[in-house]
Amino acid sequence: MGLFDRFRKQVPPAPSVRTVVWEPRPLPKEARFALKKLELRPGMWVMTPNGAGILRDITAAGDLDVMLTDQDGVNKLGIYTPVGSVTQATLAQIPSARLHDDIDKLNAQGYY
Amino acid sequence: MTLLVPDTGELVALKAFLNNTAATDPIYKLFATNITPAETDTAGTYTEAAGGGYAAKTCAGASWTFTGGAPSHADFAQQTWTFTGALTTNSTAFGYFVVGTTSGTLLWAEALTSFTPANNGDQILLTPKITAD
Repeated sequence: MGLFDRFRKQVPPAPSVRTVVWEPRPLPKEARFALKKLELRPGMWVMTPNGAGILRDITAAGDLDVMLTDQDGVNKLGIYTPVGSVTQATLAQIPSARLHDDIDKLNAQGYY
Repeated sequence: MTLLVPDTGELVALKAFLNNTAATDPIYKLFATNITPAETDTAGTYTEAAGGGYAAKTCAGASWTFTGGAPSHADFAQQTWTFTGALTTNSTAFGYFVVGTTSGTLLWAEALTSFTPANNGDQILLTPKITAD
């Protein structure tokens, strides 16, 4: 290192810039039909043996992909659970933070 | 998580389809709470990102392209959110939700790979697309 290098201002390296690419993904037709046959819907609130959650998908093996939520409706844990283990959640089982106040609409969706 | 059209969005679509209520330009917003979209959601369910140079993006109806097929789909040019630094309030973006311009009614939403902007120049790239089948 040269003599004058000692006095040269050290410029810290610029932080690296990160980019994430988001690609919207529709639920495959096969999954939608499979859920419909079971009278289930993506985005539906369900009750599982592990608590209340939101139905996201169905696997090729026929298990349900459910995101369990906490009491505030925030994601807690994604699980796979057998079809026979879930029922549609009741209004009391859905976190209040995730409920709107139009009870008639909720009833029309099967939430009581 | 896949794209979800909640009950509110379904009604907007039906009303536009049957010339009951005209549709408006969709506005894409990023949400900053770790939630999974549900069919009972409304726009108020989502906490929009704030700070760090963030702004919502309007995807004007005239600029979508439409393709019939199996499935039929509508596509829009890739949108880029370029951040100047960290988000305020909640630091991580977990997905996007789309609302109508005038009504603010929730149309659809999707949770995606979470991203925490930190540095000037960090970006989220999203190519709006919706299918019907």
